[in-house]
Amino acid sequence: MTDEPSFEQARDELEQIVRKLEDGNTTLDEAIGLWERGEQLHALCRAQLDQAEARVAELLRRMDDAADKP
Amino acid sequence: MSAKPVPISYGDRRVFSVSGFNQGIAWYLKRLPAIWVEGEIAELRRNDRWGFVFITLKDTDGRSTLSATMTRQRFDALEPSPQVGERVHALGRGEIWERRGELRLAVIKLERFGIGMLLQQIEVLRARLAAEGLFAAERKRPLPFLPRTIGLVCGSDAAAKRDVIETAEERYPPARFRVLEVPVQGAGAPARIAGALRLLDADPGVDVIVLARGGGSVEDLLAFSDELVCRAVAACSTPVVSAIGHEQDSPLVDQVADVRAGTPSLAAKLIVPDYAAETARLDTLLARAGRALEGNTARSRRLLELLASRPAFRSPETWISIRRERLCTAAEGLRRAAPDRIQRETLRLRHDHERLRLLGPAATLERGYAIVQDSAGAVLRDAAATAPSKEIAVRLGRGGVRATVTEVHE
Repeated sequence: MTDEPSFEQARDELEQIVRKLEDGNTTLDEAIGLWERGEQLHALCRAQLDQAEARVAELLRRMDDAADKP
Repeated sequence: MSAKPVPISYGDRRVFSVSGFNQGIAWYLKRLPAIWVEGEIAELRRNDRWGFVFITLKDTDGRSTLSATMTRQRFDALEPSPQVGERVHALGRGEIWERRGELRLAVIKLERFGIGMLLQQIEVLRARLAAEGLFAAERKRPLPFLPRTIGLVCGSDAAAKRDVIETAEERYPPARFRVLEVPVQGAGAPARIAGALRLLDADPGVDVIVLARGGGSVEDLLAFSDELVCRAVAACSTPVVSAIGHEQDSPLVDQVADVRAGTPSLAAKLIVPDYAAETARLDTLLARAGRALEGNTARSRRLLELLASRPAFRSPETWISIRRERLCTAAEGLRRAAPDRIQRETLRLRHDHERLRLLGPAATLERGYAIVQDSAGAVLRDAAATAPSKEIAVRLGRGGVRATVTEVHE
Protein backbone atom coordinates (compact mmCIF):
# COMPACT_ATOMS: atom_id res chain seq x y z
CA MET A 1 0.00 0.00 0.00
CA THR A 2 1.33 3.49 -0.82
CA ASP A 3 1.85 6.10 1.87
CA GLU A 4 -1.27 7.96 0.83
CA PRO A 5 -4.17 5.48 0.42
CA SER A 6 -7.08 6.51 -1.82
CA PHE A 7 -10.22 7.84 -0.19
CA GLU A 8 -12.06 4.56 -0.76
CA GLN A 9 -9.18 2.46 0.60
CA ALA A 10 -8.94 4.66 3.68
CA ARG A 11 -12.70 4.60 4.26
CA ASP A 12 -12.89 0.79 3.82
CA GLU A 13 -10.03 0.32 6.28
CA LEU A 14 -11.74 2.64 8.76
CA GLU A 15 -14.94 0.61 8.53
CA GLN A 16 -12.98 -2.62 9.04
CA ILE A 17 -11.43 -1.17 12.18
CA VAL A 18 -14.83 -0.13 13.51
CA ARG A 19 -16.19 -3.66 12.93
CA LYS A 20 -13.15 -5.21 14.66
CA LEU A 21 -13.55 -2.96 17.72
CA GLU A 22 -17.32 -3.74 17.85
CA ASP A 23 -16.53 -7.48 17.91
CA GLY A 24 -14.68 -6.88 21.20
CA ASN A 25 -12.26 -9.75 20.63
CA THR A 26 -9.23 -7.52 20.66
CA THR A 27 -6.80 -6.97 23.49
CA LEU A 28 -6.65 -3.49 24.93
CA ASP A 29 -3.23 -2.89 23.38
CA GLU A 30 -4.60 -3.85 19.96
CA ALA A 31 -7.72 -1.77 20.49
CA ILE A 32 -5.72 1.31 21.34
CA GLY A 33 -3.58 0.78 18.18
CA LEU A 34 -6.67 0.24 16.01
CA TRP A 35 -8.37 3.27 17.44
CA GLU A 36 -5.34 5.42 16.81
CA ARG A 37 -5.16 4.15 13.19
CA GLY A 38 -8.90 4.81 12.83
CA GLU A 39 -8.55 8.41 13.96
CA GLN A 40 -5.70 8.81 11.51
CA LEU A 41 -7.80 7.36 8.62
CA HIS A 42 -10.71 9.56 9.56
CA ALA A 43 -8.54 12.67 9.40
CA LEU A 44 -7.23 11.51 6.02
CA CYS A 45 -10.73 10.98 4.57
CA ARG A 46 -11.95 14.24 5.99
CA ALA A 47 -9.08 16.14 4.36
CA GLN A 48 -9.75 14.48 1.00
CA LEU A 49 -13.46 15.23 1.16
CA ASP A 50 -12.75 18.87 2.06
CA GLN A 51 -10.39 19.08 -0.87
CA ALA A 52 -12.92 17.56 -3.29
CA GLU A 53 -15.65 19.85 -2.04
CA ALA A 54 -13.46 22.91 -2.57
CA ARG A 55 -12.68 21.82 -6.18
CA VAL A 56 -16.30 21.17 -7.03
CA ALA A 57 -17.34 24.52 -5.60
CA GLU A 58 -14.64 26.22 -7.66
CA LEU A 59 -15.75 24.46 -10.87
CA LEU A 60 -19.41 25.30 -10.33
CA ARG A 61 -18.55 28.92 -9.69
CA ARG A 62 -16.59 29.05 -12.97
CA MET A 63 -19.43 27.39 -14.89
CA ASP A 64 -21.91 29.90 -13.56
CA ASP A 65 -19.61 32.76 -14.54
CA ALA A 66 -19.39 31.37 -18.08
CA ALA A 67 -23.17 30.96 -18.28
CA ASP A 68 -23.78 34.52 -17.09
CA LYS A 69 -21.33 36.07 -19.53
CA PRO A 70 -23.14 35.88 -22.97
CA MET B 1 -31.54 -61.40 -123.76
CA SER B 2 -28.34 -59.77 -124.79
CA ALA B 3 -27.45 -62.55 -127.13
CA LYS B 4 -27.68 -61.80 -130.82
CA PRO B 5 -31.07 -63.10 -132.08
CA VAL B 6 -31.24 -65.78 -134.70
CA PRO B 7 -33.70 -65.38 -137.65
CA ILE B 8 -35.92 -68.03 -139.09
CA SER B 9 -35.33 -68.75 -142.77
CA TYR B 10 -38.26 -68.97 -145.21
CA GLY B 11 -36.44 -69.93 -148.36
CA ASP B 12 -34.08 -67.05 -149.00
CA ARG B 13 -36.06 -64.70 -146.62
CA ARG B 14 -34.71 -64.35 -143.10
CA VAL B 15 -37.38 -63.35 -140.65
CA PHE B 16 -37.07 -62.14 -137.00
CA SER B 17 -39.67 -62.48 -134.34
CA VAL B 18 -40.76 -59.23 -132.57
CA SER B 19 -38.73 -60.09 -129.54
CA GLY B 20 -35.88 -61.08 -131.76
CA PHE B 21 -36.03 -57.71 -133.48
CA ASN B 22 -36.13 -55.89 -130.14
CA GLN B 23 -33.27 -57.99 -128.84
CA GLY B 24 -31.32 -57.21 -131.95
CA ILE B 25 -31.84 -53.46 -131.56
CA ALA B 26 -30.91 -53.80 -127.90
CA TRP B 27 -27.77 -55.63 -128.90
CA TYR B 28 -26.80 -52.84 -131.30
CA LEU B 29 -27.65 -50.06 -128.85
CA LYS B 30 -25.44 -51.62 -126.18
CA ARG B 31 -22.49 -51.19 -128.46
CA LEU B 32 -22.98 -47.43 -128.70
CA PRO B 33 -21.00 -45.19 -126.29
CA ALA B 34 -22.73 -43.09 -123.61
CA ILE B 35 -24.00 -39.83 -125.10
CA TRP B 36 -24.80 -36.40 -123.62
CA VAL B 37 -28.32 -35.17 -124.42
CA GLU B 38 -29.50 -31.63 -123.77
CA GLY B 39 -33.15 -31.06 -123.04
CA GLU B 40 -35.78 -29.61 -120.78
CA ILE B 41 -37.52 -31.80 -118.21
CA ALA B 42 -41.09 -31.96 -119.55
CA GLU B 43 -42.37 -34.63 -117.21
CA LEU B 44 -41.11 -36.30 -114.08
CA ARG B 45 -42.58 -39.35 -112.37
CA ARG B 46 -41.02 -40.55 -109.18
CA ASN B 47 -42.46 -42.96 -106.64
CA ASP B 48 -40.87 -44.36 -103.50
CA ARG B 49 -41.98 -47.87 -104.51
CA TRP B 50 -40.31 -47.74 -107.91
CA GLY B 51 -36.68 -48.52 -108.61
CA PHE B 52 -36.61 -46.00 -111.46
CA VAL B 53 -37.63 -42.42 -112.04
CA PHE B 54 -39.29 -41.75 -115.36
CA ILE B 55 -38.37 -38.53 -117.08
CA THR B 56 -39.55 -37.02 -120.36
CA LEU B 57 -37.04 -34.71 -122.01
CA LYS B 58 -37.93 -32.35 -124.81
CA ASP B 59 -36.28 -29.76 -126.94
CA THR B 60 -37.10 -26.14 -126.15
CA ASP B 61 -39.17 -25.87 -129.33
CA GLY B 62 -41.30 -28.72 -127.93
CA ARG B 63 -41.36 -30.69 -131.14
CA SER B 64 -39.30 -33.72 -130.09
CA THR B 65 -39.48 -35.68 -126.89
CA LEU B 66 -37.43 -38.51 -125.43
CA SER B 67 -38.26 -40.89 -122.61
CA ALA B 68 -35.53 -41.37 -120.08
CA THR B 69 -35.06 -43.40 -116.91
CA MET B 70 -32.75 -42.99 -114.01
CA THR B 71 -32.32 -45.20 -110.97
CA ARG B 72 -34.19 -43.68 -108.06
CA GLN B 73 -31.04 -43.89 -105.98
CA ARG B 74 -29.09 -41.75 -108.49
CA PHE B 75 -31.94 -39.31 -108.92
CA ASP B 76 -32.40 -38.82 -105.15
CA ALA B 77 -28.70 -38.08 -104.77
CA LEU B 78 -29.12 -34.91 -106.87
CA GLU B 79 -29.19 -31.77 -104.73
CA PRO B 80 -31.37 -29.79 -105.17
CA SER B 81 -33.85 -32.19 -106.71
CA PRO B 82 -34.42 -31.48 -110.45
CA GLN B 83 -37.80 -29.95 -111.28
CA VAL B 84 -40.04 -29.94 -114.34
CA GLY B 85 -39.07 -27.04 -116.59
CA GLU B 86 -35.39 -27.16 -115.78
CA ARG B 87 -32.87 -27.56 -118.54
CA VAL B 88 -30.43 -30.40 -118.08
CA HIS B 89 -27.58 -32.27 -119.67
CA ALA B 90 -28.17 -36.01 -119.37
CA LEU B 91 -25.45 -38.56 -119.96
CA GLY B 92 -26.87 -41.95 -120.90
CA ARG B 93 -27.18 -44.82 -123.33
CA GLY B 94 -30.02 -45.58 -125.72
CA GLU B 95 -31.95 -48.50 -124.41
CA ILE B 96 -34.96 -50.37 -125.69
CA TRP B 97 -37.75 -51.65 -123.57
CA GLU B 98 -37.87 -55.02 -125.23
CA ARG B 99 -41.47 -55.93 -124.43
CA ARG B 100 -42.84 -52.78 -126.03
CA GLY B 101 -40.09 -51.90 -128.45
CA GLU B 102 -39.88 -48.40 -126.99
CA LEU B 103 -36.66 -46.47 -127.02
CA ARG B 104 -35.51 -44.60 -123.97
CA LEU B 105 -32.40 -43.03 -122.56
CA ALA B 106 -30.92 -44.76 -119.51
CA VAL B 107 -29.46 -41.80 -117.67
CA ILE B 108 -26.22 -42.23 -115.71
CA LYS B 109 -25.62 -38.58 -114.94
CA LEU B 110 -27.95 -35.56 -114.86
CA GLU B 111 -26.64 -31.99 -114.60
CA ARG B 112 -28.35 -28.65 -114.74
CA PHE B 113 -27.11 -26.12 -117.19
CA GLY B 114 -28.11 -22.55 -117.96
CA ILE B 115 -30.10 -21.00 -115.11
CA GLY B 116 -30.38 -24.34 -113.43
CA MET B 117 -26.64 -24.60 -113.22
CA LEU B 118 -26.35 -21.02 -112.01
CA LEU B 119 -28.95 -21.59 -109.32
CA GLN B 120 -27.11 -24.69 -108.23
CA GLN B 121 -23.86 -22.74 -108.00
CA ILE B 122 -25.64 -20.11 -105.93
CA GLU B 123 -26.88 -22.83 -103.58
CA VAL B 124 -23.32 -24.14 -103.19
CA LEU B 125 -22.07 -20.62 -102.45
CA ARG B 126 -24.97 -20.04 -100.03
CA ALA B 127 -23.98 -23.16 -98.09
CA ARG B 128 -20.32 -22.10 -98.04
CA LEU B 129 -21.03 -18.53 -96.84
CA ALA B 130 -23.48 -19.82 -94.25
CA ALA B 131 -20.81 -22.20 -92.94
CA GLU B 132 -18.44 -19.23 -92.67
CA GLY B 133 -21.04 -17.47 -90.54
CA LEU B 134 -21.63 -14.55 -92.93
CA PHE B 135 -25.39 -14.84 -92.45
CA ALA B 136 -25.21 -15.08 -88.65
CA ALA B 137 -27.81 -13.04 -86.79
CA GLU B 138 -25.19 -11.68 -84.37
CA ARG B 139 -23.39 -9.98 -87.28
CA LYS B 140 -26.44 -7.86 -88.06
CA ARG B 141 -26.10 -4.24 -87.00
CA PRO B 142 -29.08 -2.05 -86.17
CA LEU B 143 -29.94 0.78 -88.54
CA PRO B 144 -29.43 4.37 -87.32
CA PHE B 145 -32.63 6.13 -86.28
CA LEU B 146 -31.80 9.16 -88.39
CA PRO B 147 -28.97 8.77 -90.94
CA ARG B 148 -27.03 11.92 -91.85
CA THR B 149 -26.30 10.77 -95.40
CA ILE B 150 -27.82 7.70 -97.05
CA GLY B 151 -25.49 5.87 -99.42
CA LEU B 152 -27.34 4.41 -102.41
CA VAL B 153 -25.90 1.92 -104.87
CA CYS B 154 -28.12 1.35 -107.92
CA GLY B 155 -28.21 1.06 -111.66
CA SER B 156 -27.94 4.25 -113.72
CA ASP B 157 -31.28 6.05 -114.08
CA ALA B 158 -32.98 3.15 -112.40
CA ALA B 159 -36.57 3.00 -111.24
CA ALA B 160 -35.18 1.51 -108.03
CA LYS B 161 -33.24 4.71 -107.37
CA ARG B 162 -36.36 6.83 -107.88
CA ASP B 163 -38.37 4.55 -105.59
CA VAL B 164 -35.89 4.80 -102.75
CA ILE B 165 -35.31 8.55 -102.97
CA GLU B 166 -38.94 9.56 -103.47
CA THR B 167 -40.28 7.36 -100.69
CA ALA B 168 -37.56 8.51 -98.29
CA GLU B 169 -38.14 12.20 -99.01
CA GLU B 170 -41.88 11.81 -98.63
CA ARG B 171 -41.38 10.43 -95.13
CA TYR B 172 -38.50 12.64 -94.17
CA PRO B 173 -38.01 15.73 -96.39
CA PRO B 174 -34.46 16.58 -95.23
CA ALA B 175 -33.15 13.09 -96.21
CA ARG B 176 -29.75 13.40 -97.92
CA PHE B 177 -28.36 10.90 -100.41
CA ARG B 178 -25.05 10.04 -101.91
CA VAL B 179 -25.88 8.01 -105.01
CA LEU B 180 -23.40 5.81 -106.85
CA GLU B 181 -24.70 4.50 -110.15
CA VAL B 182 -23.08 1.29 -111.35
CA PRO B 183 -23.86 -1.45 -113.87
CA VAL B 184 -26.04 -3.93 -111.97
CA GLN B 185 -25.88 -6.79 -114.45
CA GLY B 186 -23.33 -8.24 -116.79
CA ALA B 187 -19.88 -9.65 -116.25
CA GLY B 188 -18.32 -6.53 -114.70
CA ALA B 189 -21.24 -5.68 -112.39
CA PRO B 190 -20.13 -7.52 -109.22
CA ALA B 191 -16.75 -5.78 -109.11
CA ARG B 192 -18.36 -2.36 -109.72
CA ILE B 193 -21.02 -2.93 -107.05
CA ALA B 194 -18.39 -4.08 -104.55
CA GLY B 195 -16.27 -1.01 -105.36
CA ALA B 196 -19.22 1.35 -104.80
CA LEU B 197 -19.97 -0.32 -101.45
CA ARG B 198 -16.37 0.15 -100.30
CA LEU B 199 -16.42 3.80 -101.39
CA LEU B 200 -19.61 4.57 -99.43
CA ASP B 201 -18.42 2.61 -96.42
CA ALA B 202 -15.28 4.78 -96.36
CA ASP B 203 -17.38 7.99 -96.36
CA PRO B 204 -17.71 8.99 -92.67
CA GLY B 205 -20.89 10.97 -93.37
CA VAL B 206 -22.72 7.92 -94.70
CA ASP B 207 -24.63 6.23 -91.87
CA VAL B 208 -26.46 3.59 -93.89
CA ILE B 209 -26.05 2.05 -97.35
CA VAL B 210 -28.91 0.87 -99.55
CA LEU B 211 -28.23 -1.61 -102.31
CA ALA B 212 -31.18 -1.29 -104.71
CA ARG B 213 -32.18 -3.05 -107.89
CA GLY B 214 -35.59 -3.36 -109.49
CA GLY B 215 -37.14 -6.68 -110.43
CA GLY B 216 -35.75 -8.86 -113.18
CA SER B 217 -35.17 -12.41 -114.29
CA VAL B 218 -32.99 -14.77 -112.31
CA GLU B 219 -30.10 -14.01 -114.66
CA ASP B 220 -30.64 -10.26 -114.23
CA LEU B 221 -30.22 -10.52 -110.45
CA LEU B 222 -27.17 -12.80 -110.57
CA ALA B 223 -24.73 -10.03 -109.62
CA PHE B 224 -26.45 -9.81 -106.23
CA SER B 225 -25.67 -13.42 -105.52
CA ASP B 226 -22.03 -12.97 -106.50
CA GLU B 227 -19.43 -13.84 -103.90
CA LEU B 228 -17.60 -10.56 -104.51
CA VAL B 229 -20.71 -8.52 -103.68
CA CYS B 230 -21.60 -10.68 -100.67
CA ARG B 231 -18.11 -10.28 -99.22
CA ALA B 232 -18.10 -6.52 -99.86
CA VAL B 233 -21.37 -6.19 -97.93
CA ALA B 234 -20.00 -8.32 -95.10
CA ALA B 235 -16.88 -6.13 -94.95
CA CYS B 236 -18.87 -2.88 -94.58
CA SER B 237 -18.78 -1.32 -91.14
CA THR B 238 -21.77 0.82 -92.17
CA PRO B 239 -25.13 -1.02 -91.92
CA VAL B 240 -26.32 -2.22 -95.34
CA VAL B 241 -29.94 -2.62 -96.44
CA SER B 242 -30.55 -4.85 -99.46
CA ALA B 243 -33.51 -4.03 -101.68
CA ILE B 244 -33.28 -6.32 -104.65
CA GLY B 245 -36.09 -7.15 -107.06
CA HIS B 246 -39.47 -8.18 -105.77
CA GLU B 247 -40.52 -9.65 -102.46
CA GLN B 248 -40.18 -13.25 -103.71
CA ASP B 249 -36.60 -12.84 -105.01
CA SER B 250 -33.90 -13.92 -102.65
CA PRO B 251 -30.39 -13.24 -103.88
CA LEU B 252 -27.57 -14.17 -101.50
CA VAL B 253 -26.81 -10.56 -100.66
CA ASP B 254 -30.18 -10.41 -98.86
CA GLN B 255 -28.81 -12.82 -96.30
CA VAL B 256 -25.51 -11.00 -95.81
CA ALA B 257 -27.09 -7.55 -95.53
CA ASP B 258 -27.92 -6.23 -92.05
CA VAL B 259 -31.51 -5.73 -93.06
CA ARG B 260 -33.35 -7.19 -96.03
CA ALA B 261 -36.00 -4.98 -97.53
CA GLY B 262 -38.21 -6.78 -100.04
CA THR B 263 -38.33 -3.84 -102.44
CA PRO B 264 -36.61 -0.45 -102.90
CA SER B 265 -39.55 1.50 -101.46
CA LEU B 266 -39.66 -0.79 -98.40
CA ALA B 267 -35.97 0.01 -97.90
CA ALA B 268 -36.78 3.73 -97.83
CA LYS B 269 -39.31 3.12 -95.06
CA LEU B 270 -36.69 1.30 -93.03
CA ILE B 271 -33.91 3.88 -93.31
CA VAL B 272 -35.74 7.08 -92.42
CA PRO B 273 -38.43 7.69 -89.83
CA ASP B 274 -41.79 9.08 -90.88
CA TYR B 275 -41.31 12.72 -89.95
CA ALA B 276 -45.01 13.52 -89.57
CA ALA B 277 -45.72 10.37 -87.55
CA GLU B 278 -42.70 10.93 -85.29
CA THR B 279 -43.66 14.55 -84.72
CA ALA B 280 -47.18 13.52 -83.78
CA ARG B 281 -45.82 10.85 -81.42
CA LEU B 282 -43.48 13.39 -79.80
CA ASP B 283 -46.40 15.81 -79.32
CA THR B 284 -48.43 13.08 -77.65
CA LEU B 285 -45.51 12.18 -75.40
CA LEU B 286 -44.92 15.79 -74.45
CA ALA B 287 -48.59 16.25 -73.61
CA ARG B 288 -48.53 13.11 -71.46
CA ALA B 289 -45.34 14.23 -69.74
CA GLY B 290 -46.94 17.62 -69.04
CA ARG B 291 -50.01 16.05 -67.46
CA ALA B 292 -47.87 13.68 -65.43
CA LEU B 293 -45.74 16.57 -64.23
CA GLU B 294 -48.83 18.56 -63.22
CA GLY B 295 -50.18 15.60 -61.27
CA ASN B 296 -46.84 15.11 -59.60
CA THR B 297 -46.49 18.73 -58.62
CA ALA B 298 -49.94 18.84 -57.09
CA ARG B 299 -49.23 15.67 -55.09
CA SER B 300 -45.90 17.01 -53.90
CA ARG B 301 -47.46 20.31 -52.89
CA ARG B 302 -50.13 18.57 -50.79
CA LEU B 303 -47.47 16.51 -49.07
CA LEU B 304 -45.39 19.59 -48.37
CA GLU B 305 -48.36 21.44 -46.92
CA LEU B 306 -49.14 18.49 -44.70
CA LEU B 307 -45.58 18.49 -43.41
CA ALA B 308 -45.53 22.25 -42.93
CA SER B 309 -48.66 22.09 -40.79
CA ARG B 310 -47.00 19.77 -38.25
CA PRO B 311 -46.15 21.57 -34.92
CA ALA B 312 -42.45 21.05 -35.37
CA PHE B 313 -42.56 23.09 -38.59
CA ARG B 314 -45.16 25.63 -37.59
CA SER B 315 -43.05 26.70 -34.59
CA PRO B 316 -39.50 25.57 -35.09
CA GLU B 317 -38.51 27.02 -31.69
CA THR B 318 -40.40 24.19 -29.92
CA TRP B 319 -38.03 21.46 -30.96
CA ILE B 320 -35.12 23.67 -29.98
CA SER B 321 -36.58 24.41 -26.58
CA ILE B 322 -37.28 20.71 -25.99
CA ARG B 323 -33.62 19.99 -26.58
CA ARG B 324 -32.53 22.92 -24.45
CA GLU B 325 -34.63 21.65 -21.56
CA ARG B 326 -33.14 18.23 -21.85
CA LEU B 327 -29.66 19.72 -21.85
CA CYS B 328 -30.43 21.77 -18.74
CA THR B 329 -31.70 18.69 -16.91
CA ALA B 330 -28.54 16.85 -17.82
CA ALA B 331 -26.34 19.75 -16.72
CA GLU B 332 -28.18 20.01 -13.43
CA GLY B 333 -27.77 16.31 -12.86
CA LEU B 334 -24.09 16.69 -13.54
CA ARG B 335 -23.76 19.60 -11.14
CA ARG B 336 -25.57 17.80 -8.39
CA ALA B 337 -23.67 14.56 -8.85
CA ALA B 338 -20.38 15.67 -7.32
CA PRO B 339 -21.74 17.56 -4.27
CA ASP B 340 -24.22 14.76 -3.63
CA ARG B 341 -21.47 12.22 -3.63
CA ILE B 342 -19.35 14.34 -1.31
CA GLN B 343 -22.27 14.80 1.02
CA ARG B 344 -22.97 11.07 1.03
CA GLU B 345 -19.35 10.28 1.78
CA THR B 346 -19.23 12.94 4.50
CA LEU B 347 -22.28 11.45 6.21
CA ARG B 348 -20.88 7.99 5.97
CA LEU B 349 -17.52 9.12 7.31
CA ARG B 350 -19.19 10.98 10.17
CA HIS B 351 -21.18 7.88 11.03
CA ASP B 352 -18.02 5.72 10.96
CA HIS B 353 -16.20 8.22 13.12
CA GLU B 354 -18.97 8.37 15.69
CA ARG B 355 -18.89 4.62 16.06
CA LEU B 356 -15.11 4.77 16.36
CA ARG B 357 -15.38 7.36 19.11
CA LEU B 358 -18.00 5.35 21.01
CA LEU B 359 -15.78 2.28 20.96
CA GLY B 360 -12.60 4.17 21.72
CA PRO B 361 -11.43 5.54 25.04
CA ALA B 362 -12.14 9.14 24.12
CA ALA B 363 -15.03 9.60 26.58
CA THR B 364 -12.98 8.12 29.47
CA LEU B 365 -10.04 10.29 28.59
CA GLU B 366 -12.38 13.34 28.50
CA ARG B 367 -13.13 12.71 32.14
CA GLY B 368 -9.41 13.11 33.08
CA TYR B 369 -8.09 9.60 32.76
CA ALA B 370 -4.96 8.98 30.72
CA ILE B 371 -3.42 6.04 28.92
CA VAL B 372 0.28 5.45 29.36
CA GLN B 373 2.26 3.44 26.85
CA ASP B 374 5.86 2.40 26.76
CA SER B 375 8.14 3.19 23.84
CA ALA B 376 6.97 0.03 22.05
CA GLY B 377 3.34 1.18 22.32
CA ALA B 378 2.30 -1.39 24.98
CA VAL B 379 -0.15 -0.05 27.58
CA LEU B 380 1.39 0.28 31.06
CA ARG B 381 -0.74 -1.24 33.80
CA ASP B 382 2.05 -1.97 36.33
CA ALA B 383 4.76 0.45 37.56
CA ALA B 384 7.18 -2.47 37.62
CA ALA B 385 6.88 -2.67 33.85
CA THR B 386 8.95 0.49 33.52
CA ALA B 387 12.02 1.99 35.14
CA PRO B 388 13.55 5.43 35.78
CA SER B 389 14.82 7.26 32.68
CA LYS B 390 12.56 5.22 30.34
CA GLU B 391 10.52 7.02 27.69
CA ILE B 392 6.74 6.82 28.05
CA ALA B 393 3.81 8.24 26.06
CA VAL B 394 0.78 9.66 27.86
CA ARG B 395 -2.49 9.93 25.91
CA LEU B 396 -4.89 12.56 27.22
CA GLY B 397 -8.47 13.63 26.37
CA ARG B 398 -7.01 16.03 23.85
CA GLY B 399 -3.53 15.22 22.52
CA GLY B 400 -0.75 13.56 24.46
CA VAL B 401 2.70 14.04 25.91
CA ARG B 402 6.02 12.20 25.82
CA ALA B 403 7.77 11.99 29.19
CA THR B 404 10.71 10.39 30.94
CA VAL B 405 10.24 8.28 34.09
CA THR B 406 12.05 9.81 37.08
CA GLU B 407 10.81 7.54 39.82
CA VAL B 408 8.98 4.26 40.18
CA HIS B 409 6.70 3.31 43.15
CA GLU B 410 6.00 -0.38 43.56
